[in-house]
Amino acid sequence: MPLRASMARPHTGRAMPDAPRARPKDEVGDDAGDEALMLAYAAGNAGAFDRLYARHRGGVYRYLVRHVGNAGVADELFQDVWMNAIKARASYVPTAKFATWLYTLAHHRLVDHWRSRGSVRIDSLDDEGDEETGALVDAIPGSRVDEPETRVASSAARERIDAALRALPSAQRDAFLLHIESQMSLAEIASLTGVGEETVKSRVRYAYAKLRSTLGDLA
Amino acid sequence: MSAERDDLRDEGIARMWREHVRDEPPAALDDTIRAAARRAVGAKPQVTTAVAEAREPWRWWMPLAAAATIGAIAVGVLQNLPRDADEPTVVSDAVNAESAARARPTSPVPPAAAPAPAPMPEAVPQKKVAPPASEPELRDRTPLPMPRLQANKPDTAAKRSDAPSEAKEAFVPQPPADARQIDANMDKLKQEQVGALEKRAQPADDLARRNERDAGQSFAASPPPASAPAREPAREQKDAVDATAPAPESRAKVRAFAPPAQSTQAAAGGRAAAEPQAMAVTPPEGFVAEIRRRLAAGDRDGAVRELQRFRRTHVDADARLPDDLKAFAASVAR
Repeated sequence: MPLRASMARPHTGRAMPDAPRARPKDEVGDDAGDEALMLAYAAGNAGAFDRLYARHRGGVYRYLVRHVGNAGVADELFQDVWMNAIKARASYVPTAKFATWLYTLAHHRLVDHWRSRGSVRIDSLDDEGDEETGALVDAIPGSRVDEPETRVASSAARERIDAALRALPSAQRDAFLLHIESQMSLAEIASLTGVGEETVKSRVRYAYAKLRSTLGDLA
Repeated sequence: MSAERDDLRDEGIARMWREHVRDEPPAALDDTIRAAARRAVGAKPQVTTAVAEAREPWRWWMPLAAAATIGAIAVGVLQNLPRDADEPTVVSDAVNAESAARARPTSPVPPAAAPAPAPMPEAVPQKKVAPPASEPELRDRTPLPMPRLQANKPDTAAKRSDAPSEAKEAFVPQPPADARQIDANMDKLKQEQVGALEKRAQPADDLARRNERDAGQSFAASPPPASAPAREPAREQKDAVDATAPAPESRAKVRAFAPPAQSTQAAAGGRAAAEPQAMAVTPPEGFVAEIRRRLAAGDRDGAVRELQRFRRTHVDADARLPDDLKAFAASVAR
């Protein structure tokens, strides 16, 4: 699926004042930030990409697989997200954190995936109704309700966690996953999802509350 | 912002999430993505494209240049190749008529009797392509004089059956006339050479006769002057004949090739035999008598000249002088 320009450049604001500049090849330190690694990779340092990939591979994958509930689909989406990042390396500008840029690519890819299915309303992620959201999530073809997850461990705790996560509205689940996996701030999540910061704060708070009520004994 | 984020964060849920949710992409997917990332920064397709574009113009003109070179070489070779003998060429009548008109008044000897020169071609073959339309007309109207090239190539002339008959006759070789002319020239040359030899031998004959006369008058005991000189000229003549004569196996050739010279040499043998006599050595007694005679006559200069001649002909002339003349010889420098 082609990468849209809006996905390649999720943020068009001013450059960050403390944004690190690109370093020459093989001179990226171990404590270098994500932005420096991405700039180094754009300059031709393949090792910088390896380090960047190692930092974010798990979070992006869990974000996708927790949304789609299917490992195969998650693999496809995961590969598309990183391929888009590789293609957009030359146009990458560190106007924001690299994680925000990367999860924006993942979020847009996820929306495209649901749009291509055609059976789910796109605006469901922004729907605040818990009942409607739950119904829409259950209507997703190949969801975790109908298909077993072959790539996920089948422990009892995982089953309970997955069940509790499925019970969350998609907007709250998306806000919770971005909050716990990407380490993004509320403002960044709000910018990514296109809603207000308070809305994101509310979604995250509701999500944590429901999960605690369901999984209190595990926490 | 981060403080607000930390306020929302539930450490219990976060710890539970970290402990139980550890989903990761498969290793094959990791390898695929890393390989794609390395190819993206390592392939450098721009450089490859630039090299291909730079080589492309070099490739298209190579066959064109090769074809042009081959064509130029072929044209050059074809132009330098000699014309084919079967090519319809004819010598222009106008040019040959003019050359024949120039040659006839100046040649003192008619062509049939003219001495044939050495079989060297006098001119480079000249071929002129006449217009195709006028060629048969010219040939029928005026007889073609045989060109020099065809004269040097009788077979070529014979092949041309349509050539005029008089042209063929003009170039028929006549060996008997040439042989007679050569013999006449050779005889004339030999006679001139014999005359020169006789003129050159005349002073020597005079000197020999004078020596014989002097020796016979002054000294009766002196060795006969004719015996020794008569043997030596005979030997010299034989040596001369042997030196000039070719090898035995080629003498027959020489005799057949130049018989007049052989006869001329035999006729001049008597005169040639007298020439060595003129070169005979005067005996010492003759010189002594002449020196005494000149001294007695008061001709000292003549005596000195005679003594010098004596010294030139005899190395031990002073030793052979009698005692009365040694004082005179000592006064004459050698």
